[in-house]
Amino acid sequence: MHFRKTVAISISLVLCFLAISGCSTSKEAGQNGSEKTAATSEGGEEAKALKDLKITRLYHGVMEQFKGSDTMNNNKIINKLRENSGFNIQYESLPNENPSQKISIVFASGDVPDLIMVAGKSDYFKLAKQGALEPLDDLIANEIPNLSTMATNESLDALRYDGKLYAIPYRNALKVSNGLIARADILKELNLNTPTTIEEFYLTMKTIKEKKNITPLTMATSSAGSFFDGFFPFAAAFGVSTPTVVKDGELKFSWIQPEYKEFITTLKKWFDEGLLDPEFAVNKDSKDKLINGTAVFNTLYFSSGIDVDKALQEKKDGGSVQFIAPPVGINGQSGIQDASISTQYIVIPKQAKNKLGAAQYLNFLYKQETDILLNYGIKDEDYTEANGEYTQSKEQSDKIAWRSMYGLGDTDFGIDARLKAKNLLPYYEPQLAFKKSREETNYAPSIEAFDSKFPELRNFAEENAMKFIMGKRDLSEFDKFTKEFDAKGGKAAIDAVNEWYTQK
Amino acid sequence: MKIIRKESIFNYVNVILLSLLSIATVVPLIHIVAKSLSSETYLLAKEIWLWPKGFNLASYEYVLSYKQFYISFWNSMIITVVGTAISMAVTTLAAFALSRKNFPSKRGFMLFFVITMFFSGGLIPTYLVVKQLELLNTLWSIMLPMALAPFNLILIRNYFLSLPEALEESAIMDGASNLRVLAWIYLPLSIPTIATIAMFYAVGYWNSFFQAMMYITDRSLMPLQVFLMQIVTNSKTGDMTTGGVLSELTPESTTAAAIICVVFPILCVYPFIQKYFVKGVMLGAVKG
Amino acid sequence: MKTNSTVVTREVKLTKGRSLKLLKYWDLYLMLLPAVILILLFKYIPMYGVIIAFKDYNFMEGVWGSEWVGFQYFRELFSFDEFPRVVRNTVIISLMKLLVGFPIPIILALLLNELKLDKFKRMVQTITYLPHFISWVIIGGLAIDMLSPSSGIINRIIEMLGFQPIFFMSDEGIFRWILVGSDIWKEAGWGAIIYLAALLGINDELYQAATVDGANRFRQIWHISLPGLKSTIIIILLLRIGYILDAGFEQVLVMYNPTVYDVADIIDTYVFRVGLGSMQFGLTTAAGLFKSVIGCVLLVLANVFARRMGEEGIF
Repeated sequence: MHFRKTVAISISLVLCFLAISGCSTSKEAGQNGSEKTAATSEGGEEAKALKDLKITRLYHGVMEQFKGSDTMNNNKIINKLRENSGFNIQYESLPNENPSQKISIVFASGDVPDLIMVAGKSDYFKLAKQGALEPLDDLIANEIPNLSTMATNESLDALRYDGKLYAIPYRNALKVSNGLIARADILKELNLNTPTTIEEFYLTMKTIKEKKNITPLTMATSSAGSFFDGFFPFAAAFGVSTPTVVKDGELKFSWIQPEYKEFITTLKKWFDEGLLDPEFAVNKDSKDKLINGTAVFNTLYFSSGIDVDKALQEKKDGGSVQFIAPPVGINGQSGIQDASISTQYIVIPKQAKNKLGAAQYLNFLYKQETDILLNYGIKDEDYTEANGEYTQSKEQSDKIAWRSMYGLGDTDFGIDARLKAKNLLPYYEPQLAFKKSREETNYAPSIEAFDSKFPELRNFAEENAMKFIMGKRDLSEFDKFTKEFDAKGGKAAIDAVNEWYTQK
Repeated sequence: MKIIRKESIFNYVNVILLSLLSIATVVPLIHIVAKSLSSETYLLAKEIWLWPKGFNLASYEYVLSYKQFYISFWNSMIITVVGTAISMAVTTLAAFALSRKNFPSKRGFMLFFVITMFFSGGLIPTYLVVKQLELLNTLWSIMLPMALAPFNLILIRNYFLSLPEALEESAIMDGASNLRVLAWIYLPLSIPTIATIAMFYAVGYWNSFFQAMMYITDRSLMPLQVFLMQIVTNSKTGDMTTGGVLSELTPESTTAAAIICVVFPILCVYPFIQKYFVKGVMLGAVKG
Repeated sequence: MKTNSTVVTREVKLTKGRSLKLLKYWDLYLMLLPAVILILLFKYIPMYGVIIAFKDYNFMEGVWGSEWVGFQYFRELFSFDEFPRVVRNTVIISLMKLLVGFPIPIILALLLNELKLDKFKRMVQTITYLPHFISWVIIGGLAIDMLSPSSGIINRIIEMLGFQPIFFMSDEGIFRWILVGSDIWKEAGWGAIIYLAALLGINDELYQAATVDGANRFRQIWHISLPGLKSTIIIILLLRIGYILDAGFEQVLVMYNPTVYDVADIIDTYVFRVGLGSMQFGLTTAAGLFKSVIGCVLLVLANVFARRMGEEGIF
C-alpha cells in the first residue's frame, strides 16, 4: 500500500516536470526564432556581416601541433588568410571521435557556422533532406568559379538531392589508399619472383611456407568492414572486390555471386593449408608480423609502408617492403581500391549568417595562390621559389606543420608537396599504375532503401564470409546464405539501386 | 595454539593471494610505461611487454611540448577541485535530508533521483538546456550537469542510515538543529565514506570528456581528457582507411606517454585519500 | 452552499496540514533543494527528448515539430534478424558478470580488511585500483595481445606445458569468459573501495568481543564483517540488476571480432554497427528507451523484493 502511494507520488512528480519541460522548450523555440530574425537584420549591414566568417571543420591531426604563442585562430598563416581573403575567419574543430554527434547538436541548436564539414554520405543526405542546408547551384555559378579545378561534374551530380546540390565534396587528391605489400627481401632470399596471378600467388606462398615455416599471408580484419578492405586485392582477381558488380547491365551484390563463392573457396584453401594467418579475424593490426618476418604479404594503407620500412631498418636485418601489383585472376581481372571518392563534404547551413561570404571564401581557398600558402607557407620565410621549383627544408616545414588544416580540399600540387615532404612518394607512386576497381553506387544519389539497409547487409556478408573461410559454417551452405541475404533485404535494396542504374 | 596456527596460515594465504592480484593489476600500467619509454620500431613489432626497448624519453618531451597540455591540465584541475566541492556539498546535504526517518515522502524523492540513472533525454535536449542557461563555453557546463550523481547520493544516504539512531536523539534533545547534527555528529563519523565518495566525484570530473566535447568549442577551455582523446583516437592502429585525407597519425609511444601524463595526477589522489581511511572518531565512545 | 463550505474547510485543513509539515521540515527541504534543482534542470527538463523514439526527428522542426511515427523504430529494432541474438547475448554476458564479477570486490575488500600489515595493505589497495583508470582500448588491446596464439604470453606458457595453443579470441566457448575475466581485472579493485569504506564503519569492539569468544577469522568475517556490509551489498546489487542490459559497450567493441558475433554481439554494439553514423536518432533513442524501461522495471521489482525481505532498499 505504502509503496503504491510512493509510486503514485513520484509518477505525478515526473509528469509534472515533463509538463514544465514542455513549456520551457516552447519558450526555447520562440527564442530561437527571435535569434533568427536578429541574424537577418544583421545581414542588412553588408559591410560588417561580410567580415566575420565561422568555419567548423572535421578533426585534423596537425591541429595538436601548435607551438609557442601560435594558436588555431592566431598565427601567421591564418592572419595572412584573413588579410588576403578580406574575411575575419574563425576556425573551430569537430571532435575526432564521432563527429556526427556534434554536427547534430550544432544543427539542432540553430547556432550554426557559415561553413561546416560533414563526414559520410548518409549524414549529408539526411541534412539535405531535412532542409538544413543551403542549395549551392547559384552560389557556385556566381561566386565559386574556381570550383571547376576541385570537383568534377560527376562527383557533384552524385550529391544532388531533388535535383539540387547542397554540398561540395572535400577534394581528395590521393588516388591510392590500401595496397598489397610484400617483404621484398624474403622473396629475394628464396629466389622467388613477385607473384602476378592468383595461381602463382598460391605456389609462391606454398614455397615460402615449406622453406621458412611461416604463414605467408596475414591480415587484420577484426573491425567491421575491414574484411572487405583487407582482402580487396584478392577479391578483385575474381571480379568481386566492390560491394556491387555490373552483370547484364544491372547491378548485383558481389557477396552472393558464384564468383564470390570461388573467392571464398580459394581463401578457405589457403586458410586450411596454413598459408593464411589463422588469426586474421582477430588481428587489430598486422604490421608486426611483417616487421618480425613471420609473414610476407599483407594489405596496408600506403603511408604505413614507410613505418614498416623504418622499423626494418632500425632492426638492421636487411629487410624491406614494397607495394606489389594485385594478383590477376583467370579472367584477367585485378584491382586495388579506388581512393578518389571523398566521403567528407563541405556544406553551408541554411541558417548561416553569411552564406555569400562562405561561398566567396571557398572560392578564395581554391585559388592557386592560396593553395601555395596552405602547402608551403609564406614565401622567403617558410620556403623559396625559383622557376617554379619550391624549396623547403624539413625544419621550415615542421615549424608550420599545422598549416594544412585551413584548406577545404586537396589539390594534386598540394598533396605532392606533402607526400614529398614526408618521403612517401616511393610508396605512393608505384601504386598509381595499378587498376582501380570502380564502385557504381558511389556515384548514385541517395536511395533510401539501399542506403539504410547497406550496413546491416555488409555486416551479415562479412560475418558469413569469415565463418566460411574458417570452417565455422560449411561452404555447402553458400546457396542458403545467398537466400538468407536476399530475404534480409538484399533483394529489395539492389532492386532499388537498379531503378536508378538502368535509367542512367 | 591450534587457533594461532590456523590464523597464521590464513594470513600467509591472504598475503600471497593479494600479492598475486596486485601483480596482475599492475601489469597494464607497467605495460604502458614500458611502451611510452620505447622506440616506435619495437612498438610496431609488438615486442614491448613489460620492459622498454630502445629506451628514450622523446615521447614525453613531445607530449610536454604541446601547449594545449598545460592549458588543459589547468582546466582539469579547476573542474576537479571546484566540481568536487560543489558535488560534495549538494550530495551530503541531500543525503542527510533523505536519511531522516520522519522526513515525508523520502522514498518518492529517492525514486525521483534514481529514475535519472536510467532515463535521459538524450544529447540534443540537454544541449539546448545548457545553451539556454548560457553555460556553453564555460567550465560550468562540465561541472553543473554532473554535479549530483544519484549513485553517490544513494551510497552516502545508505551510510547515514546505518549510523545508530541513539546518536542524534541525544543531540536533538539538546536542541541542536539538523544542520548541526550533520556537521557535528554525522560527518565526523562518516569520514571514510565521505572521502571515498569525494574521490569518486573527483575521478569522475577528471575523467569527464563527453560534456566538454559537446559544450565547449573554445580550445583554451578544453580539459585534459579531451586532449588525450584526440591523441588516442588519432593513433588508432587500424590502417584501413577509405577515401580519407592524408592522415597524420600520432605514434603509439606518444599516446602511451600522454596516457601516463593524464592518468598520473589522479593516481596520486588515492594515497592521499587513504589518510582518511581511519575509524570514525566518536564511534567507540558513543556506542554503548 | 453547505456542501461548498465543507469542501472549503477540508481544503483549508489539507493545505494547513501540508504547510505544517513543510514548516516543520523546512530546513530539511532546504537541504534537499540544490540537489532537486540540479536534477530538474539537467535531467528532467531535457527528458522530453525520449519522445524522439516515436518521431522522425528533423533538425529544422525540433523535437516538438517533428512528425510522429508511432512505434516504427521499435518495430524496426525488434524486426532485425539479429535482435533475439543480441538481447540473449546482452543478458547472458551481463548475468555472467554479475554472478562471477559481483562477489569479487567484496571478497577483495574482506581480504584487505583482514590484513595486519599496514604498509602492504596500503600498497595492495593502491595497486589494485590502477587498471580502472586505463581505458578499454588499452586494456582490451593488451588482453588480445596476451592471448594471441602466435605471440601471446599465455599461449607461450600453454605450449611450454606441451599443449596446443588456444585461439581464445575466436573461440565461441571461451570468449564470454574473457569478457568477464578482463572486466574483473579492470574493475575489481575499484569496486572494492566502497566496501572497504563501509568496513571501516564497523565497530572494533565487535571484533574484539568475537576474538575473546574464540571465533576464528572466517566466523568473524561471516558474523561481523558481512552483516556490516549487507546494506551496501544490497544497494549495489540492486543497481547492477537495473543495469542488466548494459553488458559493457566499450569493452565488447574493443575486444570482439566477426567470428564471435554469435556469442558476443550485444544490443549496443549491434545498434552501433548498423547505425550509419549517429544521425539515426529514432533508432538509437528507441534502443536506449527499451533498455531504460526494462532496467527500471527490474530495479523497482528488485527493490520491492528487497523491502519484503526486510531490507531498506534504495527507495
